[in-house]
Amino acid sequence: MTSTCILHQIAEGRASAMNAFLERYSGLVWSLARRHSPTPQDAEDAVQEIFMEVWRSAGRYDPNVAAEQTFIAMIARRRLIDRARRVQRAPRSEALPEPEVVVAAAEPDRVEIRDEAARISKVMKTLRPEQQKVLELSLVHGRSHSQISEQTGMPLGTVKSLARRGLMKVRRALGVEQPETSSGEVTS
Amino acid sequence: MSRSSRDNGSLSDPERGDAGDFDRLDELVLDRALWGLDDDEQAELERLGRGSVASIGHGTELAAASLSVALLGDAVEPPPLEVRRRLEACAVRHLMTEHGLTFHTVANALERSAPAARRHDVGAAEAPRPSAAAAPHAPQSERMSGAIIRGRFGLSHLVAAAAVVLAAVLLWRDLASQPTAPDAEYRELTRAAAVDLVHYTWQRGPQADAEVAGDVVFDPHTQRGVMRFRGLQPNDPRQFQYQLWIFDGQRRKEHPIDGGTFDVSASGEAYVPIDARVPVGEAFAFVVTRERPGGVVVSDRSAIVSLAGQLERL
Repeated sequence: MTSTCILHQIAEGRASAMNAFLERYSGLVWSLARRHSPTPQDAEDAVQEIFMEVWRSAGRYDPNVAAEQTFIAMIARRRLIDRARRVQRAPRSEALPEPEVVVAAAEPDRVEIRDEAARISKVMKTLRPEQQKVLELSLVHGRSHSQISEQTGMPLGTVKSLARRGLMKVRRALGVEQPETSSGEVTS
Repeated sequence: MSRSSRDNGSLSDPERGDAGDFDRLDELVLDRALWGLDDDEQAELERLGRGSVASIGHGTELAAASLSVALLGDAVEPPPLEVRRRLEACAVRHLMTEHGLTFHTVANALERSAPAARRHDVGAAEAPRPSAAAAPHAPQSERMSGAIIRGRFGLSHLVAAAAVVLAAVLLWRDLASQPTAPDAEYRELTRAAAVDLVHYTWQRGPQADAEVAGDVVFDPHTQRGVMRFRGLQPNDPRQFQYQLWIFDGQRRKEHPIDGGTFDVSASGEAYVPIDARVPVGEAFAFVVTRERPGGVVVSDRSAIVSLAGQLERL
């Protein structure tokens, strides 16, 4: 039986799926890489590295856990963070762990998956403007916390806590279980 | 994201540490997803995670990824044409090496599918990007008018065909420098297409006499692997032999795994099955040294002739 999931088609080695795959996701990966990379050349190398890893990891994708674009963006972000840190601390570097998103799903809930984008959209509206700004600079533009602090004029601790609490909110909205911590949510 | 995307059961296990540790562990998980960790933070995460660090925090990373896609929104832009071409060349190579497809099969499939895909470029302005508001799998062509497709199909088809040809040329040029595989084992291994099949290209080592080409594949599940070489100096096994060393991410890099000795015939080509002496966990690099006949237990690494893999980790 042929898989309808394009990542699984890639994992099965279906050449006919490759163009559609690149068409659908090369823009996402390129856009993230360009913003995270110091030079266009670096972005080009990063994109290539990311796609190679995505193809190799395609069989691990579990549609019950996340949307395809989320899985791909996660691999992209890992590689981009890894590359940035490699540059910072050359020559020593450690690759980030391989993605392990194949988590045993007792009762796959496809409604939740389809709803992922809607949940994100909803939770984004609850984020404070400065929180959204910090998250955007971090997640989309690949800025470090110190760079964000410098750019926005916010104290480093504020930058960190805004980003962490924002991500915690998103995580909760997506149903990711976490331990109860004493650093509870701060009301906006 | 489903309920199953929890970060890790051990995180919420109150018997594994006090509340302060949980707070700090969660903080590190969040920071890793946001910015990555430095060496000290990574060590702290490993300590607090009690060895299960590889499986901790995936839900948080997925949340960060999902949010990054949402924040990017409509700012998604297609890569430049030359980047796209490089990706296509990589895709061809991936399909051939990892899935055992022939060049013609891949090229034909890409060419057949290219026009349909390229048509999407025409309607890019109205095509849904991977954003929070877009259904992930919605075909772009559904939003395009037939008139637009008909009006530019000829040009897009030509562009697509040119891209495929260029990808083919790039790939062919690359493969031309590879030794010809005696096939059976190599093809069987690559056709098996294990998800985490390791596949790296050889680079010339500091003590090599000439350029070295070829590749190495290794399947961690079956522990089988094959190396292909071109350019290694032919050896007299009474004088010296080549010895493979496998660097395993699960072992100290000071103690690579002995991959066995091998010889290179007068043709300068070699096709060598990998014979690891002990199970290999995460093969991240392969190094070939010149050693005395029969090989050595520990190499002084004074004669490295070829390297492959994630060399920055060595």
